[in-house]
Amino acid sequence: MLDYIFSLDFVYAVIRMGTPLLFVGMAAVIGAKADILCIAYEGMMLFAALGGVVGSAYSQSLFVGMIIGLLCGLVIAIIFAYFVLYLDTKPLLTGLALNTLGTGGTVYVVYLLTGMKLDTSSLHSLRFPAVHIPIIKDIPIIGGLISGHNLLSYIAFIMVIVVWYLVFRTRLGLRIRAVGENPGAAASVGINVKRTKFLAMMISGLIASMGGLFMSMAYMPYFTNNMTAGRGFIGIAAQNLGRGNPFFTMIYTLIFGAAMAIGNTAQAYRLPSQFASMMPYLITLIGLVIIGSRNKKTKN
Amino acid sequence: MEFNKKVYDDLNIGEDILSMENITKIYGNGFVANKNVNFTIRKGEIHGLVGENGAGKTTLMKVLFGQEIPEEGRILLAGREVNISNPLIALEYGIGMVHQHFMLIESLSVAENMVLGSEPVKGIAFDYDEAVHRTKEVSKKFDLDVNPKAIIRDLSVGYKQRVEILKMLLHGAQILLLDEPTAVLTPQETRELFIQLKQLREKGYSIVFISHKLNEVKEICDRITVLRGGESVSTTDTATVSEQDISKMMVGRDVFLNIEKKKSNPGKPVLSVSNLSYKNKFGLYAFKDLNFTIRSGEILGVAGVEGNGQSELANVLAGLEPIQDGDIKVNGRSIKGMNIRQIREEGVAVIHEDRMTYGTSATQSIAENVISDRYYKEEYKKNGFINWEYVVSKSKELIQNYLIKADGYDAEIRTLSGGNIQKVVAAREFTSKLKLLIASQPTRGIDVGAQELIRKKMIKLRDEENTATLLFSADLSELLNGSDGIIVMYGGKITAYFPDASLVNEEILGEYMLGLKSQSSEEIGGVVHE
Amino acid sequence: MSKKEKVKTTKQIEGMFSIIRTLLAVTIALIFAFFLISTVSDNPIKDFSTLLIGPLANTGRMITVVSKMIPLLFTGVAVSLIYSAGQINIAAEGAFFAGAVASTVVAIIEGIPAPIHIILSLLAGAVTGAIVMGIPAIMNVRYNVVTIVSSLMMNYVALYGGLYIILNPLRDPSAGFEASFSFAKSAILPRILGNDRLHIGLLIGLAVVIFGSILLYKRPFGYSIRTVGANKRFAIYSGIPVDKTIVLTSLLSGAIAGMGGSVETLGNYSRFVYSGFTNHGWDGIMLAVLCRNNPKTIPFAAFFLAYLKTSADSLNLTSKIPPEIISVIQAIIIIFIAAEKLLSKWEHKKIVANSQKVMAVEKGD
Repeated sequence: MLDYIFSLDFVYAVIRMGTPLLFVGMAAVIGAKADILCIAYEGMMLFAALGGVVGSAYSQSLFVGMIIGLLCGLVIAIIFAYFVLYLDTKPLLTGLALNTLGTGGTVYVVYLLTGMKLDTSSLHSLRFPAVHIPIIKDIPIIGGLISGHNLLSYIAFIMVIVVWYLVFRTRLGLRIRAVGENPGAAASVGINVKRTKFLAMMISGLIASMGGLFMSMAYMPYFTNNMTAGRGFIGIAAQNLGRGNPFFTMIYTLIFGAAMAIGNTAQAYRLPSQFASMMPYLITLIGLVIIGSRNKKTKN
Repeated sequence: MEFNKKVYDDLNIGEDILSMENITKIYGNGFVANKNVNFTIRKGEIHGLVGENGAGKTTLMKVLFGQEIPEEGRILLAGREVNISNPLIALEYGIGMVHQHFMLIESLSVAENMVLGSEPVKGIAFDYDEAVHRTKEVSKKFDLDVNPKAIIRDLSVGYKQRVEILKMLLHGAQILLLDEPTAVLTPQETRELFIQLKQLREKGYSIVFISHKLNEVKEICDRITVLRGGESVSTTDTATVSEQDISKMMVGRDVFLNIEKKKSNPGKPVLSVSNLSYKNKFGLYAFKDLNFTIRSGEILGVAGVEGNGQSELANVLAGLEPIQDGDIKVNGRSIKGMNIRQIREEGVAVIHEDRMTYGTSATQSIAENVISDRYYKEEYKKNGFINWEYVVSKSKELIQNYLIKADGYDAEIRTLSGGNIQKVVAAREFTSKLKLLIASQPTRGIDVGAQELIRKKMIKLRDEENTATLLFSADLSELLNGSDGIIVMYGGKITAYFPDASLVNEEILGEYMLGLKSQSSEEIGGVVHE
Repeated sequence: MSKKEKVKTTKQIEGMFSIIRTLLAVTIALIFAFFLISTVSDNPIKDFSTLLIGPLANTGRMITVVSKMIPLLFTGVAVSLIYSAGQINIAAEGAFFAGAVASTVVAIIEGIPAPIHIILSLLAGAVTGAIVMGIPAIMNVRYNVVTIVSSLMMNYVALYGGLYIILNPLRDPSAGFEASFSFAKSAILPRILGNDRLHIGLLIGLAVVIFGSILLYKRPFGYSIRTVGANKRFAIYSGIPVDKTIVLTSLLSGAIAGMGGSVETLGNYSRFVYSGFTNHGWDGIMLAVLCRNNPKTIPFAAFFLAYLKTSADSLNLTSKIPPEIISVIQAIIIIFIAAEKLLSKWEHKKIVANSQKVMAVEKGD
């Protein structure tokens, strides 16, 4: 087992498992900064995953596929934001409903297009390529570590910096933090609170959708029923553990990614796979307790 | 109509810069907050807006700042009629408001707060350096010193207020509305604020100063406008009236809501507080080494500027915060380590200063609200079930006795007016077989009728049930009139004890409240009875 | 008609609008369903009418509706209880699954007399469910952990932990597929009404509904639950033991959901068959929303949902429509019912007009 953990394969697996989590984690960071309790990332990811596959299959263009996928996820984000911000629907229920819509609705569309309910393997959809970085790829060890990952994985790591920059260095980020922390104060200097939150939710939805695209256009070569399997929630948990900081959140998504990677190979080591699948969630629970008890101490 | 702030420059000092005519504001629940109010401000004056709680001062200012839309009336700026439908427009017209609760983002720096809403950008980035630069500039221009890079949450209340005022000036405010700016300040901070305000006046700025502290109004304002019951009573030059005159105008009669009460006949101590100290979450003492007693049949008033430890003391007595150091005895039994239910069973009743968050449950009915402290008792049960018939009959009785206006016992609290909500709180707490009442701001912001009812009931409790009462109030007239003895809290300590409230007045209390004077420990020690 | 009868209370108007909103939500959802059906179907009218009245076609289908309703009674009441306490604990899904697993552990033991075996199996499910939902509550009360995140994680822990037990120590190698050993005959729930698909779980479920509504609205503890849920700080100030109420309610809610899992498994199957979440917990959330956390109306909403599910199944048999259409309908219904501001302008107008009428009447008196 240890030899696996120290192998290059493991690094690849962690990044592969961590990429979608990283996207959702970053999406959740923006949602949290705007003080929106959004659990609809599963729904957004599923629709984006399906949209990407369908778009790329029919256009045979990766770019068109990506745009359509992002738009599909965005639509869910917009529905969420509209209901929560303008119709006062409870965010938890809206998220729940949209996740249900994501699981059921995508299957419906898959059936509509392919006549099958399981997956879109009959559609000839495209995949994001792996990137082999010239020069670096030839450096021993480092080359193996840094080069050869999927394009979206690189984008995911760049996204951490982008989100950090957006939140902490731009005007929009400043306003998002302001409306998230004290909407009354933001409104008193003329900031449109709902519009700012709406915008934040749209950005958040687009980033989460990238995670969806990764699932169906990189992680797997096609869309399958409920393929996000709770990743949207793990991203939220990572954000929670990382206390809204993009870099800490990244670390937690990678820890979850590692736990999932170990889970995938556990059977080869005669460990029950269910234990391994359970690990990320158990780690989160324990992490939450540790953070909670630490906060309690500082409070007293 | 296009409006340009330059028109203000054309005005001479002393000319009318703003006038509000016949402003009427009715709230959603039917409460008339402003009724045909007329209000005029001149360029380069500090204008006091005074009146009792609930007289409509804050509402009038919110109308001016675009946070409330009046049903009737018009607003003229430099003679031009304007329509102020939101704060952004108010800011564009050069009207800035400093709220009682500061409108600052705690996690951001001073500079970021200053420019929020009109942030400088460089490319797509927020230009922090420019924000710092602008802050420094405006700070220098107005001689108000702030550190642009300090984080708001680390700053003192007075400092935050300075940031708020500067923020409004940076946004181009020519007319500053200050809603009870001194309520949260220490005397030193207040003095400093006054110096700053006078400087602004000299520069030609107009300031509306809301307060019900008459000495302050007298000290700093050029003119005052008095509001009473939502109507403007009069506007006069401050120099021509005495504080007595102002207070007469405020309440409309010679005496304050005077409720007749006999001299008290105190018995044994019900509440004894000894060496009680409390540190807040920042590790600072909210109050320290408090010693006092209240005897049965006695109302002890607590005077003090907000933020001198009163809220924390009330919360510790109610069991909402733990006893960290010292002891509290009720009828001789220490309540240390007791939970709230046990404390209440010792006969402690509490009117919390925040009636919507603590005092009531908005989405539950009146009946459900009046049984929250007693629903588990045998009296309210039948075979292990809640005896709803009994609860309903009791609720109807309370609604009648406390003159609660509502659709019925099943009306949800959120559908009631503020005064009626407070009556629900009183109805529950005053019937809880209480020995000790902790009453925090029991009549704040409610209509005069409800005020009178609650004050009368408190005195009735004292006379008929020998209840001991600790009365916290920001309303000095309520304290002077409603208490038997008064203690003053300043800086977390008791600085004065007056055994007979009828022998003191607002001026005397004011000096102790502002920390200008302090009694000897023997005098203060008089509040501890054996 | 006297003057008094003409005026309504604000509460009555709000109640009326909540019914209008519900009807509107269902209507919008059905219109959407018709649209979805027509994208796939060759005969949308016929298929849509199957969706609407399919289950009424024969008694067999009606029995399916009732049988599908049974687990929903449990999760609906469980979620109503926990939401009444204001806790966003979504571990009912995990509790249901864990309950099914735990009762499997007990049910495969041979040689226990029938009534005792059933009671023990159900108890095992209830206790396990209580643990699953209790842990997030304790984490919240003791360490201030956000319940929504911890209960979500708990769902997965229950899922994989449960699957581990089923697929390792309890796996029946002779089954030919991934399943547990068979239940002992003595653990299978007795049938009722002479039908081999209706089991005693229906009665237990209805008993749970009655228990839930009595608890919430008639017992002092139910008052604590509702008050904690309505305003926690008010409850603290009033001396209600808030933490204790939250933990006990979570345990109780988990026990009901867990027992639901047991009943569903022991009532319908001869061995443990699930390989993933069953969605009954999520359905419970929808039911609680529909019923505004009042257990009394859960059977009606559960019947409605079971009816839709049966429709979808029969639609799947007679046409090409995937049964997932139900998820879409469900999502639309939830989101529109929960949209508080939907029709709010109209509602506000009615309330204002009514207040004026009340004032006029008062003047008249």
